[in-house]
Amino acid sequence: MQVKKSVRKVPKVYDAVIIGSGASGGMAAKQLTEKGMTVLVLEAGPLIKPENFAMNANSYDSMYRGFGPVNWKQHEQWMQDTAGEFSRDFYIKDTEHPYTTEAGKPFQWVRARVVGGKTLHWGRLSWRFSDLDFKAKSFDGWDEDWPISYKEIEPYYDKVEELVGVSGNRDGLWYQPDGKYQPPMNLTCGEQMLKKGANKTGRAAIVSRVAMLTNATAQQKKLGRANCHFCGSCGNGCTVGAMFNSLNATLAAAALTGKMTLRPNSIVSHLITNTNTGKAKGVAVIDRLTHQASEFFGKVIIVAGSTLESTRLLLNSKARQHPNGLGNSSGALGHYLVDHFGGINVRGAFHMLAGRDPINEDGKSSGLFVPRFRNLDNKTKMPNFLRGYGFETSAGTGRGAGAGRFAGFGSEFKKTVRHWYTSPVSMTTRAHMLSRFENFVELDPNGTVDAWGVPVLKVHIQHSDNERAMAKDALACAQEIMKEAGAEILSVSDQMTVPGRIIHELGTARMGSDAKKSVLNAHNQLWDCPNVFVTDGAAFVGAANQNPTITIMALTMRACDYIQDEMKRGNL
Amino acid sequence: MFFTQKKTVATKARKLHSIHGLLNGRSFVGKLEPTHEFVYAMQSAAVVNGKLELTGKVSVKISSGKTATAENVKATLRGVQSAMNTAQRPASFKLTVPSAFAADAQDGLPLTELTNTRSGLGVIYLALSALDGKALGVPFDLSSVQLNGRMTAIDQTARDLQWLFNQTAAALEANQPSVAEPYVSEIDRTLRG
Repeated sequence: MQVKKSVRKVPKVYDAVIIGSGASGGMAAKQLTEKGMTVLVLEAGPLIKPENFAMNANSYDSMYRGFGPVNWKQHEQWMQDTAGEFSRDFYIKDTEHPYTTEAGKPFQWVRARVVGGKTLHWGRLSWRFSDLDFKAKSFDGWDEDWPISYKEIEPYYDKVEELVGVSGNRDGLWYQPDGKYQPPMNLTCGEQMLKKGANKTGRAAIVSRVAMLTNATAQQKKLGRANCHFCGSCGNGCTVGAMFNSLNATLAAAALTGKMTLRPNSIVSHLITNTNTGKAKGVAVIDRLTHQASEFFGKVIIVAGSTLESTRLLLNSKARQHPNGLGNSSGALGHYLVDHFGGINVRGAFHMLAGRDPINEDGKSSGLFVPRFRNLDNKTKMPNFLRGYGFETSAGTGRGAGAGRFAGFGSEFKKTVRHWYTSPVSMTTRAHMLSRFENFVELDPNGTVDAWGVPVLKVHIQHSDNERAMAKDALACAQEIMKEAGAEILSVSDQMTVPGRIIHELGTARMGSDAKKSVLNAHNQLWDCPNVFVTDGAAFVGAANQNPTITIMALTMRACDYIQDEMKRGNL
Repeated sequence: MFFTQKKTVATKARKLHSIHGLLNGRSFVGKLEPTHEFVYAMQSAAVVNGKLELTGKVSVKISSGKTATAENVKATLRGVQSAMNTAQRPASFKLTVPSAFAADAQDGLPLTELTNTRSGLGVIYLALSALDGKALGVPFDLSSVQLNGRMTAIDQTARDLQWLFNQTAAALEANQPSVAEPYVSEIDRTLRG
């Protein structure tokens, strides 16, 4: 790897160096600083201060009407699916951040190199995993169980939910465990109707649990966070702190301790290991703007740069004791890549809701969720696929009012939009992708590099027939629910999303009970290098079908407790 | 404020690892940093040692308005990034040539979008032969620069090349040079104009 020769050594040794400032990195910073440790948080991207978020921007305020400059997306950020005109600075530029794939097998990699990472624009859905997920192999025999049980992580889920602020109901479903919630957001009329439709078909349907404040606690208010006001502009960044992100919660809490140093624009190229012991002693950094190289040192290194960036970093950290990458003695590093799949969508309309008066809650960005209902037990066992899926649904349109569905202009056009805007309903699948060794990432074998000369990943991933059979079942079930709810189905989508598109890429540095088959132990600690912890989505053994962020934060919190204990014991 | 961000500015020449260029007709057009316009005009294509190798001319426009060129610049395919859109077969290209992609399954189960026969090509990553930055009038070390060629398909020639490069990359990746051969010939014919 090419780096500048003039290396500036920084002698300070932090208790912990944390790579990444998103859901996991921010949580690690908070937990460790509150335990009295000094931490250095290295973020590859810039800092965008919340006062510069575009939460209140309207498309009509922009000369580009919310579409951005002509061809901007295709020319600069073609893989950044969810980036919009007002949020594009939250995302990387694909021009600078290559990765390769096999021809004809795309992987959509959405990345946020910015202080706060993807928490600045995440979907906020906060579902716990259950033992149906952690012990999935015990249910159906596929792959491996996680090395932890729900009972072990449950207290951390509790703490994370109370910290970040999750609104939702306690619904009493064993396979979708309840947590510590703030009051739920109300369902819209259409969502109530869809819920009845799901119930008629024998499926549960529950209010989405989202990391958005509805009854801010004293601690949350102290950090400047306020309740959600339903503006529906979460993806542009939330300036009132209703939506959890690292900036307004975990990093802010860490800052209050005075123990955190945050260094933006710091691209970690690799970990530095002691040539005698093989233990990590620090990290090599390239300044994003100047390309200047430097090194930073810590007793513990926490790798939390997001699933694939973390694995890329470990693969790039080859050393005498770690010839195939740091933590790769098992050969599992890079393997078992998964994403959820979607793309199986049904859209329709409740005509009876047209013309209803708008209410403030129409702007909320949460919806109704149909939790997994396949392969829960013998009664729901499917003969042609393992695991299951849920449906994310919504009814009503919120900000923008779905005006794009109609042609026209002027006052008649506005009347049409207002008349119909409460009537749309949609269901989209969020489904489990089986973990398989043959879905993997590696350092590009032909030497492709990024703009800083750091070797990039080549991604190999495709869906199996298990996912395809599940998709067929999901399409039928979604239509059944929609019809039972009394909606007219207007369109269906029957192609599964390209892997990565759901932005739930997980695995590639999996936890496990056996050092020969996994990268991390049950505490997110590298089997091969005990002072390195990987705490983001890379650690996942399987994807389940629920959104992963709350689990990432719970695992991080748990790993930090372990780090403190091990430090006290003198093991780190 | 707990942030320690400081604004820093590059002050001296440095090694360029990669250049981004958009496919426009038969050329990749981009910039060496924000200041110097760059064009790689592809002129021919061949398979060398199992890899696609392009030959072309590099032009760099410097701030004085002058253009410096380097002839016979080789560009070897390092890798590709499959796209989030579909490439279209050139109307003039014969259907009798076997596709580099396997046919989609016909078993009634859903397929993954934009995959295999329905795929496109987003980027080709090319290793350029060594360039002399000084001779090109730019303060950069261009001894081992990578060209990130973005396939935006903004005109018909670019659209045709996108499809042909996609087929070629798939065939060569599968170590099937005979399958790649007609596609490479067509690329070569297209580049020679």
